[in-house]
Amino acid sequence: MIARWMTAAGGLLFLALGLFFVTGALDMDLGSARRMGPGYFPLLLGALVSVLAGAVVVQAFLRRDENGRPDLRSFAAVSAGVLAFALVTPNFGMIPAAFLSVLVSSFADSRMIFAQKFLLAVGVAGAVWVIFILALQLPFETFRTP
Amino acid sequence: MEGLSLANLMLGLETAFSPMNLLFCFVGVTLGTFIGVLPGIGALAAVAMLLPVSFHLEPATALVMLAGVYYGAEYGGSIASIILNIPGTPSASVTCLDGYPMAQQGRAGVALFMTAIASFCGGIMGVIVMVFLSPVLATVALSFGPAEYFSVMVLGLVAASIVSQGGALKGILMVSVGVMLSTVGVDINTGVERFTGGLIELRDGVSLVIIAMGLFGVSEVVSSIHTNLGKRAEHKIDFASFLPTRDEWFRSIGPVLRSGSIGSFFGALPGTGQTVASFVGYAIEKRVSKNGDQFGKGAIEGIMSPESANNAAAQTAFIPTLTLGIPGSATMALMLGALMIHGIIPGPRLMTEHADLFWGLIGSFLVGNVLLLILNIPLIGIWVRVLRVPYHLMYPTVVVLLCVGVYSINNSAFDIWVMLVIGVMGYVMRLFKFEPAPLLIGFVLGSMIEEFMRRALLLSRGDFMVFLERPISAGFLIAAAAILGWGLVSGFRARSD
Repeated sequence: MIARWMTAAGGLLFLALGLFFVTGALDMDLGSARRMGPGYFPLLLGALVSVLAGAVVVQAFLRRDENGRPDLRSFAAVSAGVLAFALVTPNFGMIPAAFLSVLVSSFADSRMIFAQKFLLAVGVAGAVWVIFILALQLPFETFRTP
Repeated sequence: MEGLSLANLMLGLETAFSPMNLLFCFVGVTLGTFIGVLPGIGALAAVAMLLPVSFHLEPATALVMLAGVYYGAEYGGSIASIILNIPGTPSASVTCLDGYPMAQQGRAGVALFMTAIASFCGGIMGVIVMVFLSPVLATVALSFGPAEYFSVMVLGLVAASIVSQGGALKGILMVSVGVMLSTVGVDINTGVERFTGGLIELRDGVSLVIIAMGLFGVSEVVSSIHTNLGKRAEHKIDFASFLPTRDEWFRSIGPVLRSGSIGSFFGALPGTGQTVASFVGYAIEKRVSKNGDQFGKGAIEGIMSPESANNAAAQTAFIPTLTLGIPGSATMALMLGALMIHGIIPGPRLMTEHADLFWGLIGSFLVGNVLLLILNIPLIGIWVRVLRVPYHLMYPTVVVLLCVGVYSINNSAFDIWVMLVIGVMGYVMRLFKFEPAPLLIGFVLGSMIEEFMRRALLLSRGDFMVFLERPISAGFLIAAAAILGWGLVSGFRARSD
């Protein structure tokens, strides 16, 4: 039974999202079909999503669906890499952010020793500098002291 | 049928052959091939990063370059499919089915050669369809009211959801979620904030690029790392063995013509695109071919069909974008944006008001496809060498490219946070077998659907029958209902089998 609920969980998430939009839309002016208010269309879509998500939940119980197997290590490493970029860029600039982001996300696998990962990070940060700042001249802050 | 004339075709070629446009066409298709070869990063990320650069170019030149990236990626995508069994672009995933077995049999050279030929033929077929269909569609579209625009988008969304792999029901749910998410931000008609939670950054809604990079970039990298690690280009490509047998040449003609036509159709329908085109092309070819049982074991038809379909679709995708102003995909929405920044409004009048741009773009498609043929046959060695780079060096680089791409839009770190949240959502969705592609197209068309529905109902004084009383609109909706019914019924059948 727990396994069934697990496959239904995806549908339940979207059911919750749909209901969230329905309740949000009901707080707004709905207007009429002739003059749609800001809440009219979101209410329509929220209701549609809720009904469809409900059907997906029912379907998950009728059918033997299986979930994919999560790869937690890749998930954690890549998320942390993106997170590092988001945190470092506004404080230290783009080049340190690129360096750290490569270094962190490369921990999704163990094919390289730390020194190799470090070199890759230096290389990619250098490439970002050459391509985006020197060649394309995008207005990025390369280095910054907070 | 105004527009299609020898003078316009000449104007197009003249524009395409101007030195600037030639140069940027070359830059675009080369970059497109490169991006296509690299798994995990697609034309969308490249177009997003090039947008700021394109503002400094002439509108025609900017579009020539961005379009080159778009269809160039379709050529490159098949290379990784054949050599590594990893699709370089989502639409090249079908090419893995027969391309990789061919490579294992030592026939990678033949497969690469023939996919380049198939891509070229498909691309040219798409361009021909575009030349003849666009003027007709533009004329018809002049009589389109909001009801017709609403209904054609509904048709596109239904078609996009039905062919998704998780089943029709999940596909429709995804499309609806996409449309629903597009309502986040300030309502353009009343100025009321919707679902922003008071965040200033969400007032303009969530940027399409960020959603796309999160759903396809971040979650794709996460789910592909452990399947792709250790896959390396080991086959030595024997450059003497490029040429297929006479029999294979002969067997390729039918699949290319059939799948090229199928691809042209799905490319022109907003909502479906290259990936749907290649899946449908392959499925139909498998049924009609005498060699159906050889599919999946390295049949030449199995690579010719998806590659001609997806390249034809990549060209015809420009038809609704330019003549109706309805983008068929996220990348097309970016190109629409690039045009609008130059003050050009895509729609039925574009062909007459900006004839040089429209026909110049078509001319550049011809030039670009010839350039791609050169890049992909004599110079194939370069791209194969790109794939020798092991994946554990590639994926951290892709992560940074995604971050830089998103950051370059607004120079805002908040956008990267949003990408991360959406990436996590996308990964969870994948685990529950929900496909992200229909969600994205729903999001792309969502705000336009709302606007056209609002206008149609305003004109009809709130009467919903307006969508069925106007014949063209009714036709679109009946087609949508038929596809929907067919999808749900065949879904039920598949379940009871």
